[in-house]
Amino acid sequence: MTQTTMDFEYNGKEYSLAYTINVLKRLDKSGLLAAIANGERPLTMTEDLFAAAFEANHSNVSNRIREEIFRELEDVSEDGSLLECLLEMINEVREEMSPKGNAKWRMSRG
Amino acid sequence: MEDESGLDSPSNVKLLTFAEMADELCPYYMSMGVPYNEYWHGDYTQLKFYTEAYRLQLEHENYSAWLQGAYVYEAVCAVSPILHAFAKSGTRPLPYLKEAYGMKADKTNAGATEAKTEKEIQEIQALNASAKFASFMTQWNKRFESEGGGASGTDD
Repeated sequence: MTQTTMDFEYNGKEYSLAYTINVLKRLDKSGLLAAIANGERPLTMTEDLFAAAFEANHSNVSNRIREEIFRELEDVSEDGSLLECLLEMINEVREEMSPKGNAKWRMSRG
Repeated sequence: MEDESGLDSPSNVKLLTFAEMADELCPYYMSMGVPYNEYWHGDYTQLKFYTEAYRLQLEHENYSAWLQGAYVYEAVCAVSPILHAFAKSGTRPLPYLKEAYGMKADKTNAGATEAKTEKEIQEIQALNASAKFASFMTQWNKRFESEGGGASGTDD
């Protein structure tokens, strides 16, 4: 299994956005992740998460270009909104890095 | 009366932010062989493979330790006849194992598979069957001859 990425082409260049543990730590330090966890919805939340996702594979892309691309992206996607996809990617990092035990468990729904 | 489950008492659970959790987990994963840069900047989906590899490694080490214990036990058992104070003079220790555990079984298995292919086995089975048939026919003929001899004698 490989990490989930957000892939697109812009101006003839392929982009593959992803998060690393380091990027998420920086986002957390900025207070954004805590705000989201508390149910707050800062205005620039989606844009900030999107710009941060460049750090893993395209850290040399300037903020101006990141903003440009963000404005150009279509809002609708078959996978859900842009924010949903970014949050899913963040959640995946948290899930994957959490240590897991060996005891099997399951849910029994009546 | 105090509730034993502790639900009513204040929680001792430490709430970690993502940054704190990542910092805490870094040495944990480094102890499993994940390089520092790989942990912070690499593909986080590899972490579970490192964890599994580490678990397997521990299993191997545990098995090696068990095996070493078994060999020590064998050695102590082998010298035990001369270890007690009242051993008769001339008592000798038992010989230690000639080979390591599992080597003999592996050799015999390998020998068995090397010796006979499926075609050879079929040929042997065919030979056995023809030999059995020949022996049965010989016995049958002998019986027939003896019965025939007797019958001819009475007919006369």
